[in-house]
Amino acid sequence: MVLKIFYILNLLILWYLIIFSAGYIALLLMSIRDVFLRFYEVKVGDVLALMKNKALPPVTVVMPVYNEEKMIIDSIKSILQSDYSKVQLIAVNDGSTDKTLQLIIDTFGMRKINGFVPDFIQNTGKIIGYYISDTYPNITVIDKEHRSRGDSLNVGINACRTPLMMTVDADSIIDPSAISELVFYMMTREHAVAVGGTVLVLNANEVKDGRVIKETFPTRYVPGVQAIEYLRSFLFNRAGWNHSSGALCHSGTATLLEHKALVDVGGYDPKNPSDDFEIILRLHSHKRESDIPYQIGFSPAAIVWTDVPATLKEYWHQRAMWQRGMIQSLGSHKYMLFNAKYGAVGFFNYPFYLLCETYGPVVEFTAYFLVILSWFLGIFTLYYVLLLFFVCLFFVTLLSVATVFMNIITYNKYAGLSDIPRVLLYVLTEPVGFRQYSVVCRTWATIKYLFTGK
Amino acid sequence: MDYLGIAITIVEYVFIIELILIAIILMSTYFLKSWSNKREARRLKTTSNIEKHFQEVIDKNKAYNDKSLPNDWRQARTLFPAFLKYDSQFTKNKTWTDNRMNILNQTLLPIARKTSVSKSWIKRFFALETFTLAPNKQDEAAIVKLTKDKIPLVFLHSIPAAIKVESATGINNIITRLAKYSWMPQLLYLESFRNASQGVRHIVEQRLQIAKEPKVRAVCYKILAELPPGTLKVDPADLKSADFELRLAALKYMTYVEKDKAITQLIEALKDPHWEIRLAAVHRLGYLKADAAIDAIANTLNDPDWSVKISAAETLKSFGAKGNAVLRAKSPELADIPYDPSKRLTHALW
Repeated sequence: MVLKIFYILNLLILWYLIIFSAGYIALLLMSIRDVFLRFYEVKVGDVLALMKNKALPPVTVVMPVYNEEKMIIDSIKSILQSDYSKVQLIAVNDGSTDKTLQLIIDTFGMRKINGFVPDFIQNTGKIIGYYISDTYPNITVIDKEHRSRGDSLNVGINACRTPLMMTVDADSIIDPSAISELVFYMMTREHAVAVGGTVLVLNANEVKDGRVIKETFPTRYVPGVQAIEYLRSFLFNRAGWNHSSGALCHSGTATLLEHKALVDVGGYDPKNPSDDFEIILRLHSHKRESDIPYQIGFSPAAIVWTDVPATLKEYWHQRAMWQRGMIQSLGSHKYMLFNAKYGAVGFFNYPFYLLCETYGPVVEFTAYFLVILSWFLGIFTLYYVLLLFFVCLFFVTLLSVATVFMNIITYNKYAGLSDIPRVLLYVLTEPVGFRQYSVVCRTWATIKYLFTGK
Repeated sequence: MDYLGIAITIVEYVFIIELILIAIILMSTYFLKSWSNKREARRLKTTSNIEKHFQEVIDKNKAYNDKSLPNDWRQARTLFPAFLKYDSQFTKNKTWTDNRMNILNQTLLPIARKTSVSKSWIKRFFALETFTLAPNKQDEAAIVKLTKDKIPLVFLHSIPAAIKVESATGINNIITRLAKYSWMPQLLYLESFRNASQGVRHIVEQRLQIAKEPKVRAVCYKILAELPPGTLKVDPADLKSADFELRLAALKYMTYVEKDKAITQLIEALKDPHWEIRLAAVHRLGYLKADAAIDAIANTLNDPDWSVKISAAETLKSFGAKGNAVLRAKSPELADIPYDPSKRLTHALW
């Protein structure tokens, strides 16, 4: 009886592996086409010149800030150096306890005024100060009581006066062309309400005055494997969903959104640690329920560099938080699952994110134990166990290699002579050790959240 | 049945396929990158040679001869950028201006005519660029076809081409297609109509006369607002349409053509049920510096929509001391909005 149960469980896991591997391969093939198309569109169409058109709408970059004294000045400078001419910046200081606010005030000559912020989104944190600058008239700083990133973004929505709003984290450097690329995507689609960009790892880059002057693949292992992860996540995952109804998740540090759409859905969820994921879900839900045509897309050419955790401990903390956020977000929109009202989102996107992206690590964790136990019980031979392990390992390697291939042929990041050996090393070693660490982290976070709600 | 045996066989095959695919991708990356780099270098070299050839024509003050161009230089992607570079640099050079139409007619246009039906969207794109520079009724059919192209860049560049040849079919296709877009992306495409010819105006006005769909009529008004003001008056029924986009487009067109005479209608629009129309009316009244509307604008300080309220506050500030006094009396907190006339951004496109 026990053997039969093991047998059935193993079969279920094998089917899970086959179905979702097939899904990933389909995503990969679609992403290859999309990445190349977007790359040549930008290269041939002289997008930057096109985006200097005065008829185009202005963009407000909303930057939630909390204890970012190390990077904040460079981050703000990177936005001021954007190619897109009509950019406003609203930095929302979420009650930082370090010198962040003072640094901004001193560097950009901010002065406090009696500013007024309407409440498109209500119940946001109390505003303590409103600052403008005579030297940098397109910067506004709003100081508020400490609550959360989502709350800061809602204050940003309230203060935003432009039809387009972009969210950027305070530890990120945007490429000068990033905003132009995002606006180009929005302007050339019939009903785009949101478009995400590519996030790459900043850790080893040389940054000066808000510009990345030298791009280097991370030398340290933990940021290095995350660089591979990020490439997979953006160039393969999000690009692949461009052909369907759009990804369910775009990074909060590189997403351009329609301001009106944000107001219509009530802004960000201030209690959700993955507010960027949840807002995209909510946009999908709202538009489908209101039967309003919309597109949520991805522009691989819009690049934002961000700092990632440099140690395993920081990585664990971040990924556990993201995992909780994903479960919370998907849970609050569970009505979408296999619901015909939500079309392709309900039948493909949502189930895929639920069963593969969110609970996939739990299944993988279970599979490790199951397969090893099955071997001990004599159900599987050692040969089969090792074969299965290497098949899974090389599947992840295949996805990574394909993504690195797309990157080198198109945007050519990390293509230096010193970068390529490191890239290959991390591609090959990530599935052995680091991946398992990530699986344990996310499984632990899932169990803890499901049982304790934290 | 030995299910485990079957599973092992399948997994073995999958393992081998994965290894082969990884090897193929790794090798492809290397070869494709090398090939791509060589191709790019060749393209740059060819462009440089073409530029030298054009320079020679200018320096020696001779007539351009298509036969002197080697066949492997006849690629739109290399020829066109070189042509454009010289066209922008030598606009006042007599030799160049004498020869540019020869280059277009003898070399670029024949290539464009062939590549306008290419499977490569890049070739179709450059074909349109050429048709825009050398408009010719003979190419109308090709341009009309490209107004239905799925690639956004190609569609975008079909608009100036269709405008240049004054293609009624092409422009009508564009209007129909733009009617499906929301207002923001329309901005990029409508810009191409700026200062277009009387012939284009005539086509758009004719479409406006027969179109029944509100979104199509709205696009027609928006296009007409990009052209120099004409004599066509707005249809009063459109100002009362159930579709707010048509009401808005009609209102904006009316303001554009009639200017101060539209003030009464704009004041009326301050009571429109749709916030975007009230917003546009506030903004336009400010733009027209309609002193008579100050009190009516002040009433919108209580508007349920924040964008309208803020725009009303900013508009009152733009009226100077009188507007500021009214604003401070009616809504002191809104008077604190930092205001800079050059930074008026509130959905300021209205």
